[in-house]
Amino acid sequence: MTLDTHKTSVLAFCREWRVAGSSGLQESANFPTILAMIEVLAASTVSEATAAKPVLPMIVLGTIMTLTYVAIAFDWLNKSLAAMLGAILSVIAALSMGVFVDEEGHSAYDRAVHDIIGHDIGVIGVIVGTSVLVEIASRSGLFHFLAVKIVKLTGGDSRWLLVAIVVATILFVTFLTIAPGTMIMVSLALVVTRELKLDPKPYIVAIAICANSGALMTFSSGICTLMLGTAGRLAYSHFFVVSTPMALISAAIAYAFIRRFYRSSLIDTGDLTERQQQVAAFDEWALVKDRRLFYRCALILAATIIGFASAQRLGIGIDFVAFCGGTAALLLSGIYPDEAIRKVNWSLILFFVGLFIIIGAVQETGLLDWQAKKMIELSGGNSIITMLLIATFVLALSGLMDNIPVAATLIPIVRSMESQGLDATPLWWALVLSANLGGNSTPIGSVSSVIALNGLEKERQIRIGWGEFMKVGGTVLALQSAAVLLYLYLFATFNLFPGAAPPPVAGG
Amino acid sequence: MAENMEEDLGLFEAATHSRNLELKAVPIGSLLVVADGSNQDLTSRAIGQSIARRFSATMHERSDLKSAAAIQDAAAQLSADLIVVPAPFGEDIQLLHSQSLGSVVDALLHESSIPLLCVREPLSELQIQTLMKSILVPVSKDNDTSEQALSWACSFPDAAGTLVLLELADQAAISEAQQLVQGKSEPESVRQAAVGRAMTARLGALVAATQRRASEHGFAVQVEFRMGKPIQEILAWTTSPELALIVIARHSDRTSAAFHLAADLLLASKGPVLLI
Repeated sequence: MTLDTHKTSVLAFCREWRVAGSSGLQESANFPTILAMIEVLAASTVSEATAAKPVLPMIVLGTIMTLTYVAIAFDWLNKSLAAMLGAILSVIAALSMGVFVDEEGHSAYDRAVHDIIGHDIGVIGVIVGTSVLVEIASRSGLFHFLAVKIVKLTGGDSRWLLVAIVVATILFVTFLTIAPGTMIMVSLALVVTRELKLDPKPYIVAIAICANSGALMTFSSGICTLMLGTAGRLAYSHFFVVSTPMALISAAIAYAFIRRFYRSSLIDTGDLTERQQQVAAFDEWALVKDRRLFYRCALILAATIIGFASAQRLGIGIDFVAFCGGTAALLLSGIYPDEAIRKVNWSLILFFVGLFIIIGAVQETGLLDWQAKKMIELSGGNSIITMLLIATFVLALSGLMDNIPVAATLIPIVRSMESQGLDATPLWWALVLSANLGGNSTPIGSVSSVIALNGLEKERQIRIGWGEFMKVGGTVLALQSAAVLLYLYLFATFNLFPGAAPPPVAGG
Repeated sequence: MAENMEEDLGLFEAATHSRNLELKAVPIGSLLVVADGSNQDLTSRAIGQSIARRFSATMHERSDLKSAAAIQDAAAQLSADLIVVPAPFGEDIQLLHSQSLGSVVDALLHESSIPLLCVREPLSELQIQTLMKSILVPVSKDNDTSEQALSWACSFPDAAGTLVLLELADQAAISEAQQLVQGKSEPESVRQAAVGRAMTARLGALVAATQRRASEHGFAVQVEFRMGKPIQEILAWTTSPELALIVIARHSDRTSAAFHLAADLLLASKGPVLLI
């Protein structure tokens, strides 16, 4: 079968299904959309696939990947289940179509599954280690204690309280990662605003949005950041040069807009002195269930952070450091290990495993190399334009779907660009900044907004709909996007990215 | 995740509702140790001596007191702050197989206004030496004298000691938690977390005050929450890893469930119980 004949038959097949879907089936309106996506993918790949790689595996595995992402984006299935299902289908398809072949010492199956997981096992190790450490740190009351201390500094003033909540959110997400950090802050905000008779909305929205800035602060502050930092071999210390300033800038932008948008809610009612006394009476020691654990956790967390910063220099992975931190916490906490281990985010780990297998299989077909080549052609081989294109694409897409699959898919593409001669360092940083902030635009764009808005609705029966959130989050994202693109442009133009290749010397 | 948020909400509610409570130090200047000729006398004496050393108190040992009234009169004359008495009184503990506390102890439980340290099974020297290093205080909102029990409990451990504050879910907490989940189809773990939240919020002041005392004196405090059968939950703590001295308040209403809990606990316990 020639390429053109193949193309014709695939396109005809897709059109038939699309007509059947929109006219007869009781499916959601998304079904025709999915088929249209498959058709576009099929049409473009079939017509322009390289001769060196067979076309059918690209189409099939690309379709499986797309369907998996759509299932996750539209919440048809639990995302871990979707990823696992996609992985199973990918392995079956890849092995039957000979995408992976036996090599000496490695069977086709080893290459399709074990090698892929093994390559990215570092991320999984960090998730396990930090989950245990964070669970034990949470039980010690350390962060709850700090949260109340920070609130007490505000004296009950609504505007200072917003500042305190933004600062605390960034701090807690930095050390605890986004989900546990957000949960503590949302609980604090709900209780304190109820006590002080304040409108909780500005505080909850601030937490939802600024948590994503917190995820940018260090290498290990967010799962996406960690995954990209590991893939790009970015040094821990380099994050303080590139990512941390942008985290603070983006948080400042968010704070300024949220304060303006909700200015009518940030008005103090009642007697100021009474409110100050009320806040002064908050007792942070009520939060500490075990003081020895409290101090031990503070030490272990500090040691783990120092370990993260020193890992590359010591020639060990940060997954090892995370494991050591988690183990130390289990040893010294006195908490029954099974209890803490049960709280590891196994769902996220399975999601990662499934995702890596799917992307690994797609990568092996050559589809992602082809996409990398197309992107380079689109940018004319200009690394700055490529970087800005990637950042724009990821900023837009991360609002609509989970940023982890978006980032994970771009990892092999960026690697392929690197093998095609582009300096990848700016591209990795573009991914880091845009993947984390992109989730600010919609209520489902990031785990922090999901936690925050659900908490507000459940606890206070106050609902922030898509309209309101997008007015705030969408505007904040637009402002942050402009800032990110300018920031990346300046860094690239003045060669400020640590570890980046020097600009080519002008011929003369 | 929902359970974690319930727990966090409870903690912050505890901090924001916490009234400024201070647990006062308990002075023990004099204690009365009552011997009844049973196999518990040696243990009673050793515990009394240990407490006397700890508080620099005067220990008075009497073996001629045969009734609750006589014991109370003697305690009043000696201005005793604490009475150490074997339970059951007048018989070796094995003979009655913990079926009864005896009429003397029963009367003391109901009538004595002075705290009673009831000695149960005989303890080894090592167990007596480590007894005051591990203190268990069951508290619940129903019991209006939890504050008093904690004041006493905080007086015992030294810098190497541990005080376990065991929050027991009571009916009021369960009802409040049911209102929080309000008939929604929440999983059991979330319902339990909601009960924990209600308890934590209401006992926040006690936790905070205990932590502050602990910081001053250097002992460790652990706060645990339990929802099961109170006696079983309490006794589960006292046997592992080492014997703990249980400190529990007798409710001022001697007909209340909280009072009966204290009495039932004494009956079921193998280790000594300090009833405030």
